Amino acid sequence: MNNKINIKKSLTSTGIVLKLGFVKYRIRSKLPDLVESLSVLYDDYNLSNYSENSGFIDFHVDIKEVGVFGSLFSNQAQFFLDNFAPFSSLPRQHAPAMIEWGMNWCVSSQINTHLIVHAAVVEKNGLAAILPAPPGSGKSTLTASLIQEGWRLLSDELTLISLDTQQVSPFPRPVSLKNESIDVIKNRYPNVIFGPISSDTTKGNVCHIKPPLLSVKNQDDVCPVGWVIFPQYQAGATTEFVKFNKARALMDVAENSFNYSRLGVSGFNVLKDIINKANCYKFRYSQLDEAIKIFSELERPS
Amino acid sequence: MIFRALGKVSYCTWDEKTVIYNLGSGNTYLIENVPTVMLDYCFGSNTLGLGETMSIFGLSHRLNNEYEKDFLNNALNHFIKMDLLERIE
Repeated sequence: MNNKINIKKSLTSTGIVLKLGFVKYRIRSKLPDLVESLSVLYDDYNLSNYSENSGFIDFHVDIKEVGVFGSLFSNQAQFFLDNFAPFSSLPRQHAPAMIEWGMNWCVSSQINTHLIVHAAVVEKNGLAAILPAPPGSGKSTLTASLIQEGWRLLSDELTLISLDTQQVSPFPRPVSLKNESIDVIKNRYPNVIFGPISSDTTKGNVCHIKPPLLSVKNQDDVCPVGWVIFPQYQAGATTEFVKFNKARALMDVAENSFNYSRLGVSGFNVLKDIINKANCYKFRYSQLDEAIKIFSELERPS
Repeated sequence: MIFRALGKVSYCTWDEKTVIYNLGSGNTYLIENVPTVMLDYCFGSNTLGLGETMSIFGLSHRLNNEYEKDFLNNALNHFIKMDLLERIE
């Protein structure tokens, strides 16, 4: 059903079912901007029309036009989960970014079967590299580059670690790029497919790129953690890649987690075991070529 | 000083840095340079029992008098601030 006409028909009627790893969304909207965004960025996903046979849906989300008189005279859009609006409305043209942020919020605020860390995560040769970092650290730019260089995208924004198996569950979504990073990736990888730009958002200009096909196709393949790497982009800095004390790494990952405190001792135990097995590093870089080289030479944990 | 443990904790140490998780409050702390043997004594399941009191002299003795009293006092005061130990007198 992944063509614009079918997507539009489903979005505006019963909704589209989108499966991302172990999470299922039902999305409904009458906004044309979303049709464009979903048809470009989710082209490789198994989208289906919602019906009684769609099975259990984790999140029923809507993006609606809102205003004083409902959708009349309104250029605002709002995200809803089960008819609850967790955020303020935004200009309608920000709807493509809003749906991505909203879907992230659903997982980060509602799921407690996994430790959820604000971190990108990529995989190569069966081991995951978790990249926890605050906004502005160059995490997404680095991730966007790594997935063009043979790494599998597990997630750009949310690392989901199972409390039962301690493995990372993929949640492969379009990678969010902001401001200068958009042109950096456009110039470096001209074949990458970009969704529509949401201009002048609270985060500046935001644009998402389509994940590689293999990342989407292998979205059910979980994997253990091999590395925890804290990236920091710093213009003009020399590359620095140094071992990071595991106790400090544990504290920093906990700090970057959405639900560590909600999970109680289960969260601590899973984090302790993962940090114990993984190699932990601090990574400062300014050149993507050097960053990619360092990732290609990562030593497997013993 | 006489003290006792306020609750159970879980902890792990890497290169002289220890993360302590308070199972009662859910708080997590990073501490440095506290010997594992002291942690084992204060919080291990087979040494000081929950609610059982111990003096700093008793602790020093259990640690074979290897550490200065000021060092032990300092460490214990940190644990008290973290609500992991309670000072009795």
